[in-house]
Amino acid sequence: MQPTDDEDRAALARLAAGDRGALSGLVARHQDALFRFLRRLSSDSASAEDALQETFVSVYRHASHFRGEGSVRGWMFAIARRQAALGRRRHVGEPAQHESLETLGLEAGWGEDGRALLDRLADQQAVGRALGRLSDEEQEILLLHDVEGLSGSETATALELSVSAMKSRLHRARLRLAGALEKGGRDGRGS
Amino acid sequence: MAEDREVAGIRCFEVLGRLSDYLDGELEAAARRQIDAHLAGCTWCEQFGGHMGQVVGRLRAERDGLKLDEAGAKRLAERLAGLK
Repeated sequence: MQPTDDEDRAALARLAAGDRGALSGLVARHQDALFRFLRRLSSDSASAEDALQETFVSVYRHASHFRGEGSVRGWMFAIARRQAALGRRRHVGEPAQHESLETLGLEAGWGEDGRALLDRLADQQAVGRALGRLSDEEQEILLLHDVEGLSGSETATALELSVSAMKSRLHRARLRLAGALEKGGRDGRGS
Repeated sequence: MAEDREVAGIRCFEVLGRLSDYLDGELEAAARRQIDAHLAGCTWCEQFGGHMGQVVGRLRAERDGLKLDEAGAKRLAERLAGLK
């Protein structure tokens, strides 16, 4: 559980009881992380900002719907994710391609010397570019768990998955990212 | 290219399947020890595990300080102030 979760739960309870002032604490604690997440999933900054506003509007209007399972942060990221999906006009949970783990591992460089991957890691911008080439589903889980540092349970809440399904998706997404980096290096491309 | 081998009672592709749990410290002690032993005896998996660890580490660094700018924060505050 994150250190702010008790504060977040108290704020949400106040909001649900009609105290609109309680929203300011949630905004102060979470606006930057939610904006970073939305910015990655949106075509531009203005769309990310719109989705952020609608996320907090939804938090305000649906505070009483929080069931207390998992953290408030995970719940807010779930709302943000839906807002980003609305902005992209696609369905949440669009399935990614499902190659076997062995295939993903081989594409990620298992069994090779890995020099291409290491070369790409030396490029400060390469990880961000490779991340941008993954599916929305893969980007979402890496942004939540590995970039923003949500716990496994919070990430599962945000993605509306079981923890075991979240772990499986996370592992595949990491391999896919390594594969995208490896491929970028092998092809000698800048992205 | 390397082959899928059994080292320390576990095959390379099984290690590959559990690598994220291993890197995230999510494995029980016995499973962790078995993978440690496999990695100690398998150059390919040891190398690949190290590379994957670096990839995950670099993702953490992607949290690059991007913030909602002042104007955006003001617009957000105005939007929320107008809620009924």
